[in-house]
Formats: sequence, structure tokens, C-alpha cells
Amino acid sequence: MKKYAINKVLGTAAVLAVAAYTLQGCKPDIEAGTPSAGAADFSNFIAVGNSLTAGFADNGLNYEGQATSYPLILAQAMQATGKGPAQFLQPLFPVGSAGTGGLRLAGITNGLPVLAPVFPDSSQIIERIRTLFPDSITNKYAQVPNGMEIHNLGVPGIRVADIESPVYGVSNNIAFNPFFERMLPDNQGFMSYLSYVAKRRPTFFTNWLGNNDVLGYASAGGTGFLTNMADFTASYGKMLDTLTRGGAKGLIATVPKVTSAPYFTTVPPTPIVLTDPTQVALLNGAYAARNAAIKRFNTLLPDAAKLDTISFRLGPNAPVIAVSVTGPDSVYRRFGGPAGAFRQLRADRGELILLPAQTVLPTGAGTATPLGNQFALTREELDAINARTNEINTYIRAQATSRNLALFDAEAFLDQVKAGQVYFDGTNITAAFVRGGAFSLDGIHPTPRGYALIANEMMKAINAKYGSNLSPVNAANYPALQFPK
Amino acid sequence: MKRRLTLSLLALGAAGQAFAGGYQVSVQGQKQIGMGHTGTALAWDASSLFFNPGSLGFLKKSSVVAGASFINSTVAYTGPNGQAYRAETDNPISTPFAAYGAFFLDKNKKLVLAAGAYTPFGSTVKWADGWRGQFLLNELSLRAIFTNATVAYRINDMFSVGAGFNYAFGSVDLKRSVDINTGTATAPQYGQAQLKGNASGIGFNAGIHAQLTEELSVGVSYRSKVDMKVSGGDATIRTSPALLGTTFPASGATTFDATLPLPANTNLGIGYKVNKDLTLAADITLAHWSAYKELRFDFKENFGTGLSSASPRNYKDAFIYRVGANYQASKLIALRGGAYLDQTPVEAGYMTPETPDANRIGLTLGIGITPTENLSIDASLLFINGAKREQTQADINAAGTQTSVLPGTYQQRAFAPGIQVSYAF
Repeated sequence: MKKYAINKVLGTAAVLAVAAYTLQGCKPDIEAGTPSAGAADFSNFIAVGNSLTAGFADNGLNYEGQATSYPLILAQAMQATGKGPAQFLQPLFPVGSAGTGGLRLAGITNGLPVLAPVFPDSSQIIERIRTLFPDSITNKYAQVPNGMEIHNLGVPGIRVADIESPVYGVSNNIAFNPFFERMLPDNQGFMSYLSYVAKRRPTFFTNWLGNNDVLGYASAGGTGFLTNMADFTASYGKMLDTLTRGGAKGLIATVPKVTSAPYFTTVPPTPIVLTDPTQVALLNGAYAARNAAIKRFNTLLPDAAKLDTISFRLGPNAPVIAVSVTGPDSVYRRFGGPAGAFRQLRADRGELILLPAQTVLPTGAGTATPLGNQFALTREELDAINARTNEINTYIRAQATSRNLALFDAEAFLDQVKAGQVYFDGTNITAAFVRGGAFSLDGIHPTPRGYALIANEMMKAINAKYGSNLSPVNAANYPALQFPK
Repeated sequence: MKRRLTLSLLALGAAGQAFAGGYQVSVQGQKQIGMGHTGTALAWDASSLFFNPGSLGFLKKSSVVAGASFINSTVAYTGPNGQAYRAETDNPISTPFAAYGAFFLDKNKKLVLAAGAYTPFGSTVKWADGWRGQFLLNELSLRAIFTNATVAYRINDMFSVGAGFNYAFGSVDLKRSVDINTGTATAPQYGQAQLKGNASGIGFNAGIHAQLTEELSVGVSYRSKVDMKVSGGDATIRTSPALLGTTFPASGATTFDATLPLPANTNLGIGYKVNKDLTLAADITLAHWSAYKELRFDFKENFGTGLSSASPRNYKDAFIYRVGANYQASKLIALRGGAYLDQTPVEAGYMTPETPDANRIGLTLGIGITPTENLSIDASLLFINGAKREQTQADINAAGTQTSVLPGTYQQRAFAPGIQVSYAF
């Protein structure tokens, strides 16, 4: 009897346990999350911005870049909630067209990338564009079909300082923005970007303007102008007033530090490597008289104001650079000669040589003749750029708070990228030129991978602000560079 | 008194923090599988070679055993923070097998010579094409076959000891996508790296079986670590020719060396015959997983990351707790049931796509049919339910494994039917 009871109890328990266990199945039952819109209304989404918003990469805008733009990635994530925009139209170049050209990766030689223009002959660029888009006077690109309401309003090159200019999109022989021009209907007449945006009634927007207000100056080596802060805040504020007019929610973004892009950090400050003592002596000889004159002049100056002499030695050297004849370096005009004001770049002060200098340094620029002003940023120029970037970002962050908008802090995020702290599906994304994966061949604009990562970060900010669940994209669907087959 | 001993052993098992996971496979004998893979203190047949070589001295007859299981395992992954992303493995059915023979050398049946071949480790993981973790792993096949020769000796009616030598051989085959795009931005194409090689290693096993009373038996056994060494395996790469000769070998192929530790196991078991028909068993295994510090490949030529690639594993030792019962329902049929808790050796932040391990519960059923006195046909069914286990970005950052794991949640479930034939003589 006792034996029977024990056996029966054990047997029943085992059968019950196994039955319960098998009922839950032999397959994993974890489920994917469900996208949702939360408190946001994504039904009419527009993206305002510059080249970053347009999908510009590799120094050009083409179909492939547009098809991997962050606004499109966001729109698709919004559509996955079932409450997204019915359509998200972009001012697409024809499928498969190289658009405005740009750069391609031709190969790797001795471990270094070899870049080549998509259109090898520069006159060919104009020709190709004319041929591809045969509708124009000069440099005009294929028009967006008349009356088509597009949703990606990114205009490469646009500054906040430009958004109220009524002639910005009117083709003429002096200056206009062909990317804006092509968005406008035929015979539009005068229309500012701000007015163009004001025609829309979005329920949700992203606004990432402001980069070019510092970048234009910085990428030209400190030539041209930084947008002044009063103009910036006035125009930026009007844009936000316009976008939020109908109660739209949205996201705004800060401006990355220029030094987070490889355009500013790839060429070392001492790129001139001398191996021949004769050449060193020749160069120093050529500057000997000037150095002597500077030394005499320096005896009249307090220590803090003393001017630099030029010297070369065996090994890596900083280049001689042309400097602005209006800033604090203008004193070098006294020792200028035909090339104007010049001095040797100060690596110890963090002065930078820009990416395009890579093409002229091998021809001897920076030794007997100065490297052009547009190829370098001096300490004074960098200080001005950094100060303006800070002011702009402080303003944008304050706007996000006061207007209760989501914020993508691009400055903080790209600092992390530069520090090598950003990972994407098991891959490490860094700011290293070509190898890093974040930046395209122009050293300023992201790769599709970089744009996807930015879109994912924006989704995080939107989800946090509006309680939505926009679901990020996978790294592998958005490649970094395109390597030769 | 006897019952109290059994219960306290069970209580001890429950008190410890559950379970051995990793790439260890608990399907080494169908009678034992049916009983939760217990068997350190029970002398069923020649399969004791695996469970406790000391038990072989208590066999009543010489025996041969051969069987296999068919593991159907699926792992699912979902993205972190409620992301709308899910991926699942499409693993082929794996078929670990076990074959043993034990032969008495003397007419007193004290000295036993035994030999066996079995597969205590192995892993097959094949993720869906294009899944999120493809730059970490597409596919892994890890096989290890242990061959063993053992001698056991029954000292007296209470004690028997045994020890043997293991020679293990096997193979590894790992494929992952290479993050170099040779397609376009909208239709990317990625190449693939493959590491494939044969491995071998040696070890030993030993055990003591004590038949304390007619009803109660206790066993202790140990199987040593086996370092599976791959020497001169084939590393091949399919990628952009622009990277061949620098980042990757010019020919697209080189060789690699690697070592994968198959950890030692210490087993403690108890068997208790409740009555003529009912036998209970409980085992505790300590799997010495802390031997697995990192997965390292050394290449003859640059292979992506230079001449070597290493990713940390930092496994910790883990326990497995098992209980099982065998009920002789009739002369012809025995029914079995059991369960085990298998503690993961993988710490937070180290859950890789190749072993996304979690604590597991195994539940087993078995049936034995003895059509003649000497012939036995045994079948088992094993269900494995891995816990849902989340790995956060914070876990990953703390472990520093950002380039070898994904944040997200994994879950594994498996079932494995098995069958074997044994013959005693």
C-alpha cells in the first residue's frame, strides 16, 4: 500500500510537470516590441535642415544618399507605428544617377585610401549635370516636379543666415542655391526658405539647421564669416515659430564641434617630413633674412607679442601657412613679401590643417611657398569657431527646453563618436577618416551608417520626449563606405 | 534516516543558485537522460563509463550500449528597450551520440575494462541571414567526440574505483559577415570570414562508487579539462580586393591556431532504492567553466584585426543539480522522469551570439523496454527551457565587450528525443 502510494504520487507529479512544460512549447516565446506613436502625431512629418538633412555624402548629393537620409529613416520608423505619414517624399535625383558627383573610393594603396572624383573632369561635372538635367542656364539641377509637395526640405549649404533671403532660390549669374532653386516651382519669383517652409502644416518636424553658420567659415580655413549671434537667434527663432505654429511637436538638434569631423583632424599638424639635410639647409637659408628681420623686430616687443620665426629640421615639420591679413596675424604683413602675411603653423597651439591640403602638400606647399589660408585654421580662428558653436548650442538647447521640444544633442553625440565610445550592432563607429565608418569621403558628412546611427539617436530623443516607441534600424542595412568590388 | 539523507541532498541542490550551460551537452545515456541525467551513483550499464567509471565494478554483466539524441534547439533574440526587432536561429538538428562497452576480465567480476565514444560538448548555432548580429556571428559549428578507455576494479562489496584516459577530437567552423560593403548604399553586400579547423586534446576521468547499503549508493566522479587545440586551421576571407594584402592576406586565405577549453566536471551523486520497483537519484555537478577566459585566434597573416583576435569570455564555475526516478512498472517496462537545473557559466555582459546562455531547466521523460533479460531498448525525451535573459548596454559597458556582444534579450528552448540499445552478456 505504501509502495503504491509513493509510486503513484511521483508518477502523477512527473506527468503533470511534463504536461505543463510541453504546453509552453519547444520554441522561444520572447516577442519583439510594438512600435507606437505615444503622444506624438507623426501623420504629417517634414524635415528642415541643410546637407545633413538632404542626405549629402562623399561631397555630393545623389539618389543613394537621399535613399539613406536620416529623415527617410525616421519617416519609415514613424510609418511602422501605423500612425506615420502616408507618404514621405524627397526631392530625389533619378534612380542610379550620380547626382552632383562627388568622391568615390578608388582603392587602398599602402594602407591609405585613394579617392577619385565621380566625374573625373571638372568641366564634365557641369556637362554631366546639363546632360542629366537639361533644363537650365547654369548649374541648375533637375527640378522637383511642379506642385509636388516634398517632405525632406534639406537644402545643402543653407545657413540660418540664409533662411530669410528672398533671392536664395532664384537662379541668377552671381549667387543662388541650386538645391533650393530646384525645389521651387517654375516662375516662383522671390521666396525665402522660411516662407517656403511656412507653406507646410506639419504635425511633426525635425529642424537641424545651424551647422553651416560655423562650418562654412571653418571648412574654408577661416575665410568668409561666422554668422553673428543676433542674426542667428532672430532667424532660428522665426523658423521655430513657423514650425510650431499649428501646435506641431518636433525635434531640434545642436551643431557638432568642427573638430569632431575628420575633415579637420586627419592631416597631422606636422605633415612635412624632411629626410634630406641639404633640403633642410636650403629651406632654412631661404627664410634666414626674414628670420633675422623678425628677431630684430621682436626686441621691440613684449614677450607675449613676439613673432615666430620659421625653421625646418629633419623629421616632421609644421608647414608655412598664409594667414589672414585682417586678424591678429596681420602683423606678419611687415615680413610678407609677395605672398602676403605668412608664418609657420603652431602645432603646440592646436592649429589645424584641413583635409583638402592633402592634395597640395605633396606638391611642396608649406615649404618654400606658404600653404593657402583656406587650408589651415589658426588658434584665433579656432577660438572664434568654438565660441560661436558654444553660443549657438546654448541657444538651441534653451529653445528645446523653453519650447518643450525633443533635442538631439549632436555635439555631445559626435564627441562620443570621436572618443570611440559609440557602438552599433557590435561594430565600433569612430571619427577616423575612411576607416572609422561614421564619416564619408568628404570628411564632414556622415556615411549611410553614420546617418542611420544619427536617426537612431533622434528616435531615442523623440521616444524619451513623447513616449513613442520608434524602433531603430540595423547597422548592416546602412553600410559605411563603398569599397571596390 | 535514509530518506532524510536524500531529502537533505535535494535541499542542498535547491539552495545553491541553480545550474552548467555553456556548450556542454547532457545527453550521454538514454536511461540516465530519462532520469534527469543523473547516474553518478547508479550502475546501469556500460554508460557508467561517462557518469562514474567507479560504478563499472558494480555492473552485474558485461554490456554494450549505443544510442543517440536528436537535439532540436532554437534561440531567439529581441532588441533592447522594447525595440520591434526579433531574430531566431535556424539550427540544424544535432545528433550527439554515445557508445560504450564494458567487459569483465575475471570470473569474479571484479575487474572491468571499458571503452567508449561520446559527445559531451558541442554547439550548432545558425542565425537567420542578415540578422542584426551578423558581424559577430552567422554560424558556428563546434563538435567534440571523446574516446575513452577505462579500467575499473571492485575492491569489495562496498567500493569500486575506476579511471580512464580521454582522447578528444573534433572540429570548429565559424562564419561571420565582414563589415566591408562592396555593394551600394541601398543594396549593401558584405563578404564573409570563415574559420575552420580540426581540433584534438587529451584528458582523464576517475570515480569511486560506494554501495553503502543494499538501498543506498553514493558516487563521486571527475572528468578533467580537455584543451581542444586547433593548429593550422583554415582562415578564409571574401571581401573587397582593395583590402587583400593589407588588412587581409593577399591570397584571401591564411591559417590560424586556437584553443578551446572543454571544462572539467566534478560529480557527486546519490542513489536510493525506495522499494523493489522505485529508484531515486540525485546528482550535483560542478562544471569548472572558469577555465574559459577568452576566445582567441592567432593568425599567420593579418586577418582583419591584425595577427590575432581575442574576445573575453570570463566564464565562471557553475553547478548543475539533477534529480530523477526510475519506476519498474512491469517486467517489460520501466518508466522514468527527472529534472535538472543548469546554471549558466556566462556572466552579464558576456552573452555572445554563439553561446547566449542563461540558466536552464531540463525536464526529462524516459521509457525502457526489456524484451529479453539481456536486451534493453531505452528512449528519452528532454525538454530544455532556457530563462529569458536580458543583457543591457550598461552590462556590456561594464564588461567592455561592446564589439563581441549585442544588447537585448535571448531565450533558448530545445527538445531532444533519443534512443539507445543495450545488450548485457
